[in-house]
Amino acid sequence: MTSLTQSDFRELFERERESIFRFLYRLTRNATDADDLLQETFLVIWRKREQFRGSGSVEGWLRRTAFRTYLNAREKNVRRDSLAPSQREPGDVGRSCCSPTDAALEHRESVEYLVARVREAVDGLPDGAREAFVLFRCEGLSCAQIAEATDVPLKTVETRIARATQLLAIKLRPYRSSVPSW
Amino acid sequence: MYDRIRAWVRGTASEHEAHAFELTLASQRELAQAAEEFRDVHELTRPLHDEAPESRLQFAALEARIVAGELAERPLRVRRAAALIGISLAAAAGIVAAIVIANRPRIAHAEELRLTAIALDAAAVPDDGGRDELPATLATYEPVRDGQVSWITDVGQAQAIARAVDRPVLLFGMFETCPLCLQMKAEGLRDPAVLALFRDYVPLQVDLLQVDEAQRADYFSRGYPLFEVHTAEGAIVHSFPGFHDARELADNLERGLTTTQQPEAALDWQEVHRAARSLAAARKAEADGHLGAAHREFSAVERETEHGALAGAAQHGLARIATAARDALLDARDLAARSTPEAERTLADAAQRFEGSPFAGDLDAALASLKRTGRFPELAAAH
Repeated sequence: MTSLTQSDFRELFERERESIFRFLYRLTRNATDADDLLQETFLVIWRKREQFRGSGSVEGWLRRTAFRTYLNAREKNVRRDSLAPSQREPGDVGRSCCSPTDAALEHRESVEYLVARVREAVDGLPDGAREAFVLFRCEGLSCAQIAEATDVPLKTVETRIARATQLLAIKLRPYRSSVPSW
Repeated sequence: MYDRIRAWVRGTASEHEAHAFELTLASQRELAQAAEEFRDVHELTRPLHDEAPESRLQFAALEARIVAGELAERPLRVRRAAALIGISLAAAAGIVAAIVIANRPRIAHAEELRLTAIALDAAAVPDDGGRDELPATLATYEPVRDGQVSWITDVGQAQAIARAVDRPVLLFGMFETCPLCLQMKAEGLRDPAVLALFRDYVPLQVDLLQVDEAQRADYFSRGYPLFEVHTAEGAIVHSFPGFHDARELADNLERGLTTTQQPEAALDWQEVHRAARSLAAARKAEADGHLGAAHREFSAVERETEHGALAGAAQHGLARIATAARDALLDARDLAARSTPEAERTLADAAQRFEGSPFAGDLDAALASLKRTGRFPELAAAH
């Protein structure tokens, strides 16, 4: 394949849509933002289809393009509107979906509370550290894949993950003893 | 390293790899701590791992955007029809424009220019009294090199570095003929575990016999060999004078770090070196008048450092450049009231100096408007 034809492009979209969406969702934590950025990413890919020579990793190229699209959006302050901690009070979720016993409800409330604190702690990380951490921890990318996608040296990715881990360890220390079996 | 830690934590490493990694952990204390910390955080953040909905974007929607944006890709017949319509509209517009021009007032109106980057209300950057200046040694300095502590002997320099790298100062008060000091230098202060902890400090060595009499009396009243953990501002947060073996030293150094634990973790020394070099390059470009290049370097430092004094210095630099861009635009506006060619020259010169920064676009647009109408545009603040 010397450059992407229309049918290649469609095939690429159908094949990679979910993985790039997940990648963007990890960064934005908002499905609507992630879908918008996914569309922008594939528009860029289409515009630059002549540059694609079929060598190298398609996934790497897509992730790098997606990350740049995300960065542009972040710099325009149109990102993370919905990354603020949930407006729901801990325990609100799912109260009406079933009739749990008091003990089960209490357990559920404590889990909701802990999850909210964990989300807050991750959202509160410095941008570079947060991005590296969520892609590593939640999306399961390797340090090398993150370095390729975010266009920074491998050492910087490791330093960012280390920093995120240190900060989260400090912020989440009070909850360490109360972690249930998730 | 973190790939191996994650495989070990998840249990996805092969038996052989896991065994080899555990042997490595047993011999490398710093790595073992990092692995333990990651295991805890991995467990605590497990709920985030599974939460990801599915995309709702359909190929049809993407295709519609592509088609709308690519008139050039349409069939030739359609393009010809579009071109014909375009020509007809342009001709009609030309006739209308000719009528308007023929009847226009003699003095052209200034256009409105909506600024995209320059902030008209950018506050002047206050003089920071030199705090923004970073020690030149920051580009290469490391607290431990070749298995030894790289002691700084100047209090002011140690504090300046500590401020820049968000680390506390570790003061070691000694004198050359003190046997306990010499023994510690040969033993505890060369221990690998102690040296690893020194990477989180800025080590300052004070020769107690070389300071003035009042200072000497003060230092000796605090004990010797003297070990104190100071903030970058000089406040004592932990003190452990006297002789210590390696284990006691390590315990006290750890305690000192806990006492001064900052909410944000500090950059590692390689990152500090890179940022210090970029800052130096940014300042040189700024001093040489290449403000676009300076903006790029300051932005890179701000992005890479994210917090702390280095990020602060970069933000300060970016604010100076933003103010300079605003001043250049307003100077040109003042000049335009007296001499249009002079205002044009000022704007062209400014656009060149700021080339590569977000401000160049506004300066170019102002210049184009001035050339088009002969009047300086009405400036409107960015949304």
